[in-house]
Amino acid sequence: MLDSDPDSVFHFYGTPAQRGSQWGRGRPIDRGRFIQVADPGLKKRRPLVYPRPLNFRHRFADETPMLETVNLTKNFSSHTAVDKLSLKVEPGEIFALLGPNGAGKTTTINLLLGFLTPDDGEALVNGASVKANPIAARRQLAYIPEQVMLYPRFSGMENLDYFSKLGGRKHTRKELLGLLEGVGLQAEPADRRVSTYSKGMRQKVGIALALATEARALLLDEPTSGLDPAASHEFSQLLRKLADDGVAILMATHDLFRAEEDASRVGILIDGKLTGDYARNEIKDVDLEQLYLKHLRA
Amino acid sequence: MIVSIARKEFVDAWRDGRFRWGAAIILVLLGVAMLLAWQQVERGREERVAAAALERNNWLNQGEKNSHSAGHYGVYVFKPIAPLSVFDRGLEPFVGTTVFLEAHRQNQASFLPAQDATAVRRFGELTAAAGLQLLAPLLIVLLTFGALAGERERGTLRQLLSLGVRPRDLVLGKAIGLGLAILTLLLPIAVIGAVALAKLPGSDVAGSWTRFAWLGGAYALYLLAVLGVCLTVSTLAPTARTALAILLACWAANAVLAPRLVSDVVQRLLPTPKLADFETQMREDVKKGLDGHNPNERMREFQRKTLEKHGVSHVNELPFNFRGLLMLESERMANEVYDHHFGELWNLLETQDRAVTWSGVVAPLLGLRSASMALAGTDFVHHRHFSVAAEQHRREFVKVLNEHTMYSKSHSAGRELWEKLPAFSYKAPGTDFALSTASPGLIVLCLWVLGSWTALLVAAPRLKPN
Amino acid sequence: MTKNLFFLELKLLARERSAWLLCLFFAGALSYGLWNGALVAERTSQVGAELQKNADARWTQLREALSQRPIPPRNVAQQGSVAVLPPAPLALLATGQSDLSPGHQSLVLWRLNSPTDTRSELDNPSHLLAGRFDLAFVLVWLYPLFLLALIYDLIAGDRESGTLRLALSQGIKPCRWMARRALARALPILLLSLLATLAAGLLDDVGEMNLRLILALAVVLVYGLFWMALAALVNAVAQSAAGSATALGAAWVALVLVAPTLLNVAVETLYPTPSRPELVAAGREASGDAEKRGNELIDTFYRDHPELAPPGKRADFLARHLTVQSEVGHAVEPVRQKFDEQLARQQATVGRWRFISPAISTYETLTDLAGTGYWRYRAFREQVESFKHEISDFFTPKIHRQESVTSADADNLPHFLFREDPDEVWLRRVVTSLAGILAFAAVLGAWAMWNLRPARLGRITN
Repeated sequence: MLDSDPDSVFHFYGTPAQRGSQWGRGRPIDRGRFIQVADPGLKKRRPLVYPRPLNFRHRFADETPMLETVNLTKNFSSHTAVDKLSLKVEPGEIFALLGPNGAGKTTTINLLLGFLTPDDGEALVNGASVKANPIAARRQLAYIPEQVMLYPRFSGMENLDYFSKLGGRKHTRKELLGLLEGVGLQAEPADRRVSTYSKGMRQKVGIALALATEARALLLDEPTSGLDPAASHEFSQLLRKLADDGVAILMATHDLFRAEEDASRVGILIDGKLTGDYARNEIKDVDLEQLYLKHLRA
Repeated sequence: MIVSIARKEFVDAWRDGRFRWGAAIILVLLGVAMLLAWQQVERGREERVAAAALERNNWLNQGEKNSHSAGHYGVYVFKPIAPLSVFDRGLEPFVGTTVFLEAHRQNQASFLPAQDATAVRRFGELTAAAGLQLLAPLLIVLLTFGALAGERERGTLRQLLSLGVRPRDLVLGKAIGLGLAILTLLLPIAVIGAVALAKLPGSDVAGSWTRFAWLGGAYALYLLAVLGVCLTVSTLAPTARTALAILLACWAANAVLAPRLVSDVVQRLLPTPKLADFETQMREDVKKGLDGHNPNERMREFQRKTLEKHGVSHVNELPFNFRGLLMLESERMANEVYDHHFGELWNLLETQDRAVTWSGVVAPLLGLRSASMALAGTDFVHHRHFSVAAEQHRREFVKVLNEHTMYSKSHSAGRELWEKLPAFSYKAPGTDFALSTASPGLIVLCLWVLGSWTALLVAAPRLKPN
Repeated sequence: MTKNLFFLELKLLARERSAWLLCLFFAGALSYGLWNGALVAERTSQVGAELQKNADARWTQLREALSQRPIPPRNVAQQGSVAVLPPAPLALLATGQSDLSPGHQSLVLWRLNSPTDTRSELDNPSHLLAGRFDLAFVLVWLYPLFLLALIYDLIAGDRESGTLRLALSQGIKPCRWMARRALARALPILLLSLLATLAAGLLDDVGEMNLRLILALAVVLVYGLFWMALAALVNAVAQSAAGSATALGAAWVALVLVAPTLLNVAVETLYPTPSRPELVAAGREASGDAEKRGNELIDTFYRDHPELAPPGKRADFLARHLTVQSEVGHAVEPVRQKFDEQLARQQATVGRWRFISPAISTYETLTDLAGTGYWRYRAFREQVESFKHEISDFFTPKIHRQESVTSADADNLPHFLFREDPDEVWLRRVVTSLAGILAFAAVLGAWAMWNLRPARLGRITN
């Protein structure tokens, strides 16, 4: 029974009996930004729509992985950047994609974002092909590049407000401040112009944006490069909190230490091929650096 | 979505120090220009009215003399200054201000104000029109060259697109936001212009408000077209630097090169005749008609016909002075010649102007200049309208004198005859006239707006974050 | 070593396709400007030459006729005289005022004081407004643009990309490096301009290397140096290549487009252009008055100048008219004087303030050297005025005394010969302008070097 499941949306909103005839007996369908309930009794009327609650981790009938690539291939004129790549990132997973420069990590992210079209294979976001509808795919993702670029003449708060509006969410100032505080950016710097921010602060705004848009998946490109250990640690905490809330995280990184600490899966990408794909328990007692170098030399 | 983007772009533009300074400088320059132009126009109008009154006085007080001598004494008329020349002086410095009306000859307007000026005048005048034609597009270039290309370089474009924003929405939002930022610059200028216009005395100022509104529309179209082009280039260019280089080159070609080059080429393809040839040809054609001073074959023929018509055998038996009739006839034939020659010349000048205007499909400034001058009343067509009115006055003046010679007993005349000729009062043409002249320019501008915005909407989906 | 580095910079420039395109366009613009200027100069001089030829022919005929028998003064005066300005010495360089001010004037004895029609040709006013595409236009407006297009980025782009740090860490002097680069990059455009100026001097009828041509070359060079100094300064302080381009573009607009118009505005406000309609109306009033007092005037005149009284003591119509005309001339003189003085004041102000923008100085100097500038036409107008007096002085006594013109008078017949201004006059103007532009350039250059001094290297590389 759905309503006794603590992860069920009914648990959050209340059972039909509790909400009365308004709720109906329809099956909730996750539409990403909202949950739609089609009530058979209300066939002629519009289906009921409910905003997705924050920090809600959904688990419905079909467990599609949030991010998936199936034999993904991308060729450039000089070389093959991504070669028959197949990986999956489930909701709540942190997948660390390791690899040297030029291995194809950024290309993979670009393919998942729909900024590049694959020559073969597919990139899927929540089961839907990115190529078919890139806009819909992007609406479910959040992307934090290596350098989070914001508008220098606006404050962190204003940037967050603007980007989250564009991402389809409207929040009040209080809500946004709360988000920023949640990622470690206090009220005072939040109102300062972004041109005064450090890299870490800008990254925090990026993460706050991911939260504000209630993205179901997060794509990170070298997130900890250039961060001092304290900032790196803060970042790691945030990442884990997001994963606990059911966000699927794909992290392309060099940082073996972080990968070891935070990742629930580690993939090693060499020359566009995924030569290793390990779960956390598989590499618990292994020196990740040696493993990585072994793949590199192979 | 588009509204959010537009609002953000508007705020961002005003937070940019370069835009603020540029806008402030342009506003100050144009405000000063309009203030000084207003002073100049007021003073010029007073001077011409005083000169016209003085001339009328001369005419009335010329004393007793032969009516024909009065025809040679002639009348000077002065071209009134169009009220909207406060905004766009157009051709005023390069067309004559004074026409000498005399018997037997049609004269062109003489004394170009530019001839009584320093050589630095050839650099151009600082008018509101010049500022909006040359400086405002530069400001737009400055504001928009980095609109898309700069975002791409900065990385924020990637951020935006990764949120699922449609490229076309982004481009449209930017266009609207930046367009509104430019508009907030235009509004004070329009207000200052309106105030200047309102404070100009004169009856013909009444018809100027519609023209002023249309002028505003023409300039808005132009700046809209410029905005479209700038954003299209910014969308398609790989880097912001390339976008800036291309846009500056376009601006230079449009604002600096095109007016002179096109004007020269048109002159080469449709040349005006040499002054000496023109005058010689006209003189000869007039001679072929009747010349009241020197008797010749044709005069004898005309005399015979007139005698026949009135059934008399000698000139003295006619009920009027034959000499007067002779002069009327000779004037009539001369006028035909003048109409033909001047008509051809003026038609040629108008054709040249139209050719330059239609070349505006390559450089929009040419279309705008033409429309702006036409609406302000300072273009050649308006000057022709004045020249024709002056010529009508001349013909009336000569007719009055010749009829007096025909029907009065004595040869000399006095003040009663001088007063018979009304003072020259010129009524400037209405808005319809201006619009029909301005329409090619306005059409060119519309084509540019359509073209550039279509290009923008077509280029938008090609926006790549890399 | 420096020479090698200089050639290296040239080689780098030669690799840029855009540089070739720019040079090509510039060469095209210069050629078109030269060609167009040549056409205009030819047309103007043709008109003048024809008039002069006719006038000379008439004069020769007259002298011949006089050697056979005396002719009444009225018949001689009827032929009229023409004053023609000889072709400009360096007409291909600039069309200047030649399309606006007439280079010739026809004069008839009995219409000396009527306001003369000052039209020179039947040009379309829009064409006058747009201005001519001559060599001076290319040199004053376009030459800086093309030059800046090549030298706007001397070190700003390197600073942006980070290679400046690498270069400076090799231990070179930044000023020297920038100067070398600026010169190498500016060289093609500089050379093309100088070549075109040389062609303007050598391709016309006279075609010799004279002082005017040398000074013209100097002006073009110095004007180029000014823009190079400005580019150096902007590069020394700009943060990015785009910033440098914007600043230089703004400087071009300010100096070439806005400053001259501001000067016009200032001159117009301080010394408003006198009203031509007022002058015309005043002349008419005076002439109306004088005509009415005609008889009285002539009686007074003969009383004052008994030697000019006619034999029969009966003045004919022409004598009366001439007296009236001279009276009108006297009456209008103060108004005309005020008119001319105001114009002179305007020009003097322009002359004083032309240094605020090298574009103004360069344009004035080029038209001055070409012989189509304000000053030569003003000299022409003044000489025409004195020629009018000459005509009047020759004929008036004869007409009053009713004497004929004889062969003895043949040598004194009024004949216009234009006297060019002595060299020192225009030389002083030109040299002052040159000095002004050089001084401005030197100031900018010094400021640029100050910004690149070793103590500021830290700021430069960040």
